[in-house]
Amino acid sequence: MASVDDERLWVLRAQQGDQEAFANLVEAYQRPVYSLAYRMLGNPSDAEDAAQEVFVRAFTHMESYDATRKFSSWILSIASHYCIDRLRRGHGRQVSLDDMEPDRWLPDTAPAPESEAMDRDREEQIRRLLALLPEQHRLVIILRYWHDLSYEEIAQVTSTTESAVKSRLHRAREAMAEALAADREAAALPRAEDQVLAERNRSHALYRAI
Amino acid sequence: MPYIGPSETVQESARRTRRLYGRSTSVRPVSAESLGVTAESAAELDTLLASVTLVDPPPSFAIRAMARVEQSRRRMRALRIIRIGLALVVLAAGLAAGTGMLVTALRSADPQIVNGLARILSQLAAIPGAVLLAIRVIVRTLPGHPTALLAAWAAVAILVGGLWIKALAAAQPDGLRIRQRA
Repeated sequence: MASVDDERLWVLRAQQGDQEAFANLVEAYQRPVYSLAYRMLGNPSDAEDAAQEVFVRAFTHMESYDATRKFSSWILSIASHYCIDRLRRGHGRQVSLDDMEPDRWLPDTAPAPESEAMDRDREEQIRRLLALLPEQHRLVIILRYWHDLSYEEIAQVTSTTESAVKSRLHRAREAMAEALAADREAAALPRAEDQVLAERNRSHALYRAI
Repeated sequence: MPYIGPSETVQESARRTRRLYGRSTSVRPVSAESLGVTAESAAELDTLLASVTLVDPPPSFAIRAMARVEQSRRRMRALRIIRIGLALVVLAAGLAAGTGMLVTALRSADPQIVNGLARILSQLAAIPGAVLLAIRVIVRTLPGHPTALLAAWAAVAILVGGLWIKALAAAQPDGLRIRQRA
C-alpha cells in the first residue's frame, strides 16, 4: 500500500504530465474504480471500458485536481459521474446472469474477481438487488458499503447534500430490504411444479393403498 | 490519503443494527406491527451488505488502462497540431487576402504608393542577404586575428556556461524534494 507522501508525489508529478507517476496512481486505484464501475454497470466488459475511460479523464484533467481534497474522493467522483452518464445514455446494460455462461460470468476466470469468500449465490443476489435501484440510489449504496465513505464524502462525490445522501440511502435500503422480504416469501411458498408433483405422489400412494 | 477498503465502521454498524433489530423483534407489540420492511429482512440486508468486498479488476488492467491513456494523449496532441495548423492556414489566407485587397485599393487610389511599397519590400528582402555577406566576411577574417578568435571562444564558453546553469536550476526543485523525502 502506498504511503500518503508517495501518493502526493505521484499526484504532483502526474499534474506535470509524468505518465509513470500516473501509472502508480492507476495501480493504486484500479480496484476501487473498477469495482465501482462493475457494481454500477453490472457486467465486467462495460466495467473495464468505463474504468479505463475514468483514468483517461483523470489524466486529462489532472491539473484541475485540488490537492486539499482526497484523491480517492476525486477519482471516485469522476467514476460516479461517468457511470451515471453512461447508464443514462444507455451504454451500460444490466446483463442477467441467466444470459451468461458460468465461466463468462467472471472476468478472465483466474483469479476470481470477487473475494473467494463470496459465493455466487450471494453475488447474484447483490447484483439483482442493485439492479432494482435507480442509478443515484445504487451509487449511494455502493459508495457507502463498498467504499466506506462518510455521508459528507458521498455528498462531495455525488455533488449533492448530506441530507439528500441520507434520504437516498434510506430509500435504497428500504427497497432492497423489501425485495429481500419478497424473495423470502416466494421461497417459502411451494412452487407450482412441486405442488403438482406432490399431488401426483399423493394420488399414487392412494392408488397403491386401494 | 491512500484508498482503504470497507473498514470496521460499516461492519460494526451492521452488527449494531442486527442487535437492535433482534431486540425489536423480541418485543411482542413491536414485532406484531405490520411494517413494509420487516426487521428480519433489514437485518439480512445489513449482513449481506457488510459481507461484500471490492471486485478485483481483470489481470493486466492497469497496463491496458495506461495504454489507453497514452493513446488518448497522442490523439490529443495530433488534434492540437491539426488545430494550430488550421489556425495558421486561416491566418495566412486572411493576411494574403487582406494584403491583396489593400494593394488593389492603394493602386486605384494612387499608383505611386504601390511603387514605393514595392521598393521598400525589395529593400527589406535584401537585408538577410546583406547580413549573410557580413557574416561571411567576419568568418573569413577571424583566423587572421587572434583577438577575434579569443572573443569568439569566450562567447561560446559564456553560452555553454549559461545553458549549464539553466539546466541545473531546472533540475533542482525535484532533486530537493527527493532529498527532503529521504
